[in-house]
Amino acid sequence: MIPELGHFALILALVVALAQGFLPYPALKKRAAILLFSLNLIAFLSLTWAYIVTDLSVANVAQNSHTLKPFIYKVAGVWGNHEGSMLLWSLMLALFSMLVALSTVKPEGLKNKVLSIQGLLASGFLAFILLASNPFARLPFAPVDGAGLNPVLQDPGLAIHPPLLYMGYVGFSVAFAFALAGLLEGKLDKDWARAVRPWVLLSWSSLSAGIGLGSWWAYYELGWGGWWFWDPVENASLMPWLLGTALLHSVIVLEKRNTLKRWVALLAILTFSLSMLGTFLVRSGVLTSVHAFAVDPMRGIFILGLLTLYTGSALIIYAWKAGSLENKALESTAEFSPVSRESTLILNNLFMTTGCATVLIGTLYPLVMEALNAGQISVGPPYFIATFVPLMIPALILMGIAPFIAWKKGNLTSLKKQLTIPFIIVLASLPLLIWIMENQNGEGTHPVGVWVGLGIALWLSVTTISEWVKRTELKLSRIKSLPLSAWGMSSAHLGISVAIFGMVGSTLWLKEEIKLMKPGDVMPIGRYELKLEEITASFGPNYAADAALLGLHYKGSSHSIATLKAERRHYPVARQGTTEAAIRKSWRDDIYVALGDQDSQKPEYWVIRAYVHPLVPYLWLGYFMIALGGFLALLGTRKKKP
Amino acid sequence: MTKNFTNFVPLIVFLALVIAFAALLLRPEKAEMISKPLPALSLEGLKAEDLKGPAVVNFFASWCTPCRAEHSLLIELAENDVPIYGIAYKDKKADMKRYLEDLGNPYTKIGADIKGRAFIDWGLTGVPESFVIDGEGRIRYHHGGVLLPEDIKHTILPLIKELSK
Repeated sequence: MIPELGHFALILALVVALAQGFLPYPALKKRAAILLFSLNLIAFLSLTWAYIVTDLSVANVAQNSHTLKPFIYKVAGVWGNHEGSMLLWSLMLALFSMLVALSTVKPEGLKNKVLSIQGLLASGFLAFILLASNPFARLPFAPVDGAGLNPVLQDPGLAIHPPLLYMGYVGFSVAFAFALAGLLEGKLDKDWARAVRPWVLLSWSSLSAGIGLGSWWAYYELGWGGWWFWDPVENASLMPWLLGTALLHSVIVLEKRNTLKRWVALLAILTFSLSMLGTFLVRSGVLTSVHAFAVDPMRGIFILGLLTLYTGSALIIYAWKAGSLENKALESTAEFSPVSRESTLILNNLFMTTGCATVLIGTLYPLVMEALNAGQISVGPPYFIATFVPLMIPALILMGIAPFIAWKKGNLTSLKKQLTIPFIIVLASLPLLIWIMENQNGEGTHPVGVWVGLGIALWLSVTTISEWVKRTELKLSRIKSLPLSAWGMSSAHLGISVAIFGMVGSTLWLKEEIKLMKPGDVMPIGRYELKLEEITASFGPNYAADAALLGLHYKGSSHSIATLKAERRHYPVARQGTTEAAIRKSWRDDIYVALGDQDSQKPEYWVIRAYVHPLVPYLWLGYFMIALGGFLALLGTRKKKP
Repeated sequence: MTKNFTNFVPLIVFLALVIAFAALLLRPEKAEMISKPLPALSLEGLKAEDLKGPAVVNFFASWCTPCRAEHSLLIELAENDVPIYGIAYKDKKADMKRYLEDLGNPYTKIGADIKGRAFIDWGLTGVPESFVIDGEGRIRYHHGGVLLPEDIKHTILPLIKELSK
């Protein structure tokens, strides 16, 4: 009964979304948006209920859940599959639509257009769910038990990773709707920018947090000790993040200086389009990866149709209306000198969009070549490292400098003066930092990379902190009165530098060992030694496991710091295994131990694989500071309101 | 006039992309590779004459996540006495070795496709992809992407059984 209720709520939601999109009565739109969200919520809760009670007559539950699954993963299982995740997407879309309806956006004409566009977006995705991915479809005969959730996906990090990521993706629909409404109304000005900025910040911060969590999850759960693999699906989230970052900065230029109108509109359209493209790539099965749980060409065609309809119409509106914006922008106030905050933000945009383009090309090139029957090629991580990383180096150097430069016209002499001390600090501390790390851990795999990478990270953190010092003069009264948006910028910029410390350290100072070991054997690695104590067998709620117990020492010391337990789990229901690596975190590094196979000839020997990832905790701290910075700036925009 | 034209550039680029995608989605199920004689194969560790059907040819890589996901199925397949020839695509030897030590080795023989030559000759678009070959040196089935338990049960095992007759 409850699944039918959910199904019915979805059908009603489609009707309401169409009404919100097409009916010309402003008074109706606000109520429609609230109703749309409520109906979506009913549908979502109905499916959640079916998962909690494991209603196996619902095909989606039978395929993805199991009575023996722990409660939290039954709930997370709702969005751990194609149909449910599309339902979550639709719920988020309706949530944002309702939030816009409830917020004060002036003028009313703009707000009504935004709500109409969001209604149209929602109806497309609802139609997709109802016609091509109905989560409430019943089975003629309920099976005895469900097929289970991919055990790799049974992890708390993964339970919140998709909702955050979707909040980011879908949140950019607000900027998209605002851009189209602004183009149609011919009103893309300071007020427009002020109205749209909080939405961009909210989406960007959620997306940052979502990407961070995904990366954290890959690192701790997938058991292969990396945090970014240039997997097409990861790229699909990186691209909107890069464009969103560009949008975030260019909206500030529009708000302060009333220029870059066309560019901001185009960025807003493209950012959400890339979010949709990400969905298309994941859901259509055009690309195969661990993320692609739905492989159905019909669905691919449907989502491609939606993408074409929405992005296509948006770009037609852009082509048609963008010209008229330009004339109004040719006011003398829009002028600025080559050395100015405006110029640095435009450069930022150039780096971000070019970076996004290189990722897009790397992700799509193999597909496009194949579609054109021009032969098949492949693009791997080396491509991204060769193209994307060099682009980010100047961007990051600039990022340290830009906040020091004034709007309209910066002063080069004073800029040089202000940057002298940070530069000297970097020059002095960089060799010291590298010496401290390499003294105990051993040398890096790529000395130039270590120097450049850490040099840039140090530069960015020192300049960001000195910019904060310059602003506050370290006086308590000034620290207190510093606007939240400034705190947000400092936090996000410092977060980037902190994350780079983690990226460089964990990649270039990585130590890895793989060894056949029997109990009693010792493996030296980095600044540690690992001693295999024993191997035991045990059982969990829905799996069987082998576990290795290992004692950890510093090199040359017999004092044990910790005992590590690395597991290999086997899930009989899903007939899959997972590696539960043992990880010991410290502020210096993570040591990561995974248990491999038992030797087939000598059963007392087991494969033990260990990594030391220096500085990796700073990666997570950095991600956190980046997302926190976005949220702080978001709070700042709320506070400013009269 | 040129100003107005530049406003159309995003639209034109986007439409070109859509056409490419549509072509990709609507193309027939890679029929061109099926029932054709085996493509060239001359790798370190695996040559064309090594392939003795009926068997499965599986392209994998240690850096590929879905390959990990399907690996347990390959092991099961090997336990059912189906020969599996592995082709490690653009993989470092040490990485591949560790991968197999970690997850088990279901492969009868492994070739290292370091330059990606076999990848192109066999018409792949990514890893993993799997083929079923018969005893007369022909491809009988091509599966793009990750293998699921249903694929093994309903397609690959019955086909191998039929070819073994």
